[in-house]
Amino acid sequence: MNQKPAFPRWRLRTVVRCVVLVGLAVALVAPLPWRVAPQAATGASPFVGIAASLATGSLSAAAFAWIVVLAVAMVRRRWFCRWACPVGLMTECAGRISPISPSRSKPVPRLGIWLVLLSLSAAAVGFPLFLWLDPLAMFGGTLGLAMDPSAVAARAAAALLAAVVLLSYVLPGTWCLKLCPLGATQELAASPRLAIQRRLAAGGLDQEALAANDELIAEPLNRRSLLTTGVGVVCAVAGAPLGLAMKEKTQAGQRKTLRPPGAEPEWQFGQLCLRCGNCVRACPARIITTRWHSDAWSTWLTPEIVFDGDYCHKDCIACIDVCPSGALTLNAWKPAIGLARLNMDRCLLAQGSECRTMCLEACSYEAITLHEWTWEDDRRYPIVAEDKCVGCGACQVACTPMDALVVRPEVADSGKPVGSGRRTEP
Amino acid sequence: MDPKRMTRRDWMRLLGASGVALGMGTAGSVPYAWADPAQRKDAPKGVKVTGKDHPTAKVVGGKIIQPERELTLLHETDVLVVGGGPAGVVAALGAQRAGAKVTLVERYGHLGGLWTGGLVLVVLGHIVTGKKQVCQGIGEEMMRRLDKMDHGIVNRRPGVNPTVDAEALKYVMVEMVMEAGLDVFLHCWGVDAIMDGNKVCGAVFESKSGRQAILAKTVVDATGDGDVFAAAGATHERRKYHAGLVHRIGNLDKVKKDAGKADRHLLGSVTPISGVNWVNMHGPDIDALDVKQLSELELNARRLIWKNVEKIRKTPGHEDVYLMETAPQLGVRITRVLSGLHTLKMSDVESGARFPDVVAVGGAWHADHQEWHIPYGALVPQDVDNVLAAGRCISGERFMSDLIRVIPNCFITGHAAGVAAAVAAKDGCLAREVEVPKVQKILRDQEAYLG
Repeated sequence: MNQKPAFPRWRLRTVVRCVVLVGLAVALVAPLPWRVAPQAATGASPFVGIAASLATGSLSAAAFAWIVVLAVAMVRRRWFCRWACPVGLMTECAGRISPISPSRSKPVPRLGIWLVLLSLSAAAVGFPLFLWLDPLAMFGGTLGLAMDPSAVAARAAAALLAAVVLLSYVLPGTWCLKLCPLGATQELAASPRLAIQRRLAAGGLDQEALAANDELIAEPLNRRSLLTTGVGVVCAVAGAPLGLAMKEKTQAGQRKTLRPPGAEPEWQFGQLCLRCGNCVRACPARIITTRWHSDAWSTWLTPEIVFDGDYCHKDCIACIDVCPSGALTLNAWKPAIGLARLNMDRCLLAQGSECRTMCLEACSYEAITLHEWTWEDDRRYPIVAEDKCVGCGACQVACTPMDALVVRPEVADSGKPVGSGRRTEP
Repeated sequence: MDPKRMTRRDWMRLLGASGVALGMGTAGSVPYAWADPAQRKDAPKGVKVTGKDHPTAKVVGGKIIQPERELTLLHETDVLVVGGGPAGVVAALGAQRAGAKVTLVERYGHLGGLWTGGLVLVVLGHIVTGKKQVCQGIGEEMMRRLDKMDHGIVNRRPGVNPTVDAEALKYVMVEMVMEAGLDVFLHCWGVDAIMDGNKVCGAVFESKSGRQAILAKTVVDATGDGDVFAAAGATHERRKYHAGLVHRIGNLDKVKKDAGKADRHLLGSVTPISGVNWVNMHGPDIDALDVKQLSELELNARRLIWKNVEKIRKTPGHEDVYLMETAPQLGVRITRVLSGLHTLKMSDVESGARFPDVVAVGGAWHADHQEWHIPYGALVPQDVDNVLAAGRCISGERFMSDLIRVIPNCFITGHAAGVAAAVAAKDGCLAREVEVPKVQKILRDQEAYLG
């Protein structure tokens, strides 16, 4: 056994990570028939998984992925970082070519664990934080550039990824060991086992088990670790009131942008959304897009719908299917986008002009009828049935270039879109 | 005045007044007598008519029977075009330029059909995405003539639907038809097809001259209602559609806009004449082949138009607006549609289907979609020979009605039918056997766009 293995472990690890990186990229970008592939590829992060499940009170179809990752991480410490994480591969490469010693990052506190504790605590009140810092979200978001180099959120994700790699060059190991919330989640998952082992080791019963642990072995209990634990406890406790305060602050605003179907209310949507770009890539109609600025800070870079030549097709819920964090979900309510509203000043029919009434033909929900022309009331114009319209945008596209019918992100007091007649039941 | 108490003085006064009145009356009556043409020495002599020139309809056993009778032959020609709307006039001109002897028959006293008489003044559907104009040929030539005239056409720029002046266009059509030397019969209503077996060889017309026949080698049905092919027994579909009566209002340039705002749908759209708008009417869905429904529509429409103009006048600042005219022809949109060898489909428009026997290329209403091919088969009946449909009655599914019925589509399909009819007459073949490449070449020579 002392013999040097022909194929060293680190090399095997590198090969496996390269394979995983390619596999994840294929799952995210290639037009695979299984929509669970991109959902699981991004949703494999237990950080996102736990936070989203806590916040929404439900599990997504791809929950198996993060549960497996979490379960293994409880036994094999940070296994995902070393065997699978695509960002980990990049940062490790950056660290290896860096002339700077990894020990330089030692003074940096383990912010990642505090972030995770803060986030999970806030998620318990429905307002998870920092989900976009997840490496898998970052990686998936960056891949959006492959499909549309001008995609705003994809550029932002790429910039974040570049910053992480650069940081790993300047201070190797800082991101992965000290900041990454996915790494920290695994760390937390392994901590009960480590604590038990430490107790046992301290009792002199199993020195070997202690020694067998990795280079990342927990520090012995001292003032520094006490301080760290203290801050962690504070984070874990303070997250909930912080989340509530932020929820309060962002909840007030009505929805001002069109969201993909099944979007959670704005205050939660902005936090649940990873900016991973899965929905943008999955939409067969290519109507989901992102932009820098949004009405509220919490919803910057989140996906929105622009009916530019196409609309949300009936019975297509591709965006919901691929969403890894429950920001888009069938459970929220029957997914509607908004409500079509008529601008009488732009409607040819209302003006008495000839019109092909393509809006009527376009509607798949029988939500549009024409005001009947009579000798008493000699006008004709489309009427939108609010209980049937889902804001799919078909009429808006059909009404080009008049744009008399426009879908508005109208939501009722309950926070749910007004239109509720809907297609696929969950 | 009580005569019993009349004084002598009163009597004298009365007598004097009567004398003056009598003298003036006699003097005045003289010129009227001379102005009466019947009294003129050079007046054409009247002809005394006794008896009847044809056997009248009779009631036989409770049924009204029209007895068989011989019809006078009014005219013989190569190509007979029934209907003088945009499709008919362009068909006649196209056929004549292709070398045929052409006769054009129109039911009203003007040419242009719904384009002029129906006040459907907007040229809707001749452009496609990229502002390209696809409806060209003789229809475009008419618009070019209007370009050169004052107040002939407005909004004539790329990517926009222009609006013509009805009277200017009537004049242009008359000029073109007379320059070409066509035989034109106005005030003639095509009532029947003349058949030789399965072949249409002419049509019967009702006019002030009574019932007369015109024989032709090929007939173009540009009636809009498909009157000829229906009479010939060609399979077709009868559709209900909304129909209305268009009108024009004047003095809109005198409106004080700051004073008040009238309903947009009452004010209509601009025409080449400043201060004059044309106002569309959607109207109810009717079977526009049912004379009862047509009459009811016309009566109600006139009432509604007057009411609407009054409504405008009641708007502050709009007091001077007046009803200039109501359209001489009812705005009938769709009635009979031929079941042709080819049926135009919306899916073909969407997919951009191309046909080798294309004879016309249609456009979009608002330059919002691509061009679409109209193959020759859409003009040819399935079961009757030598009659070609042109204009709004060509073969197309229900969803195509709106694309088929618009003015530019009428003049391009008219152009195609006219040239094809001329080629058939010249080659002595059936309309369905026409060499389409030959037709396409002539159409291109006549500046039609075929993609």
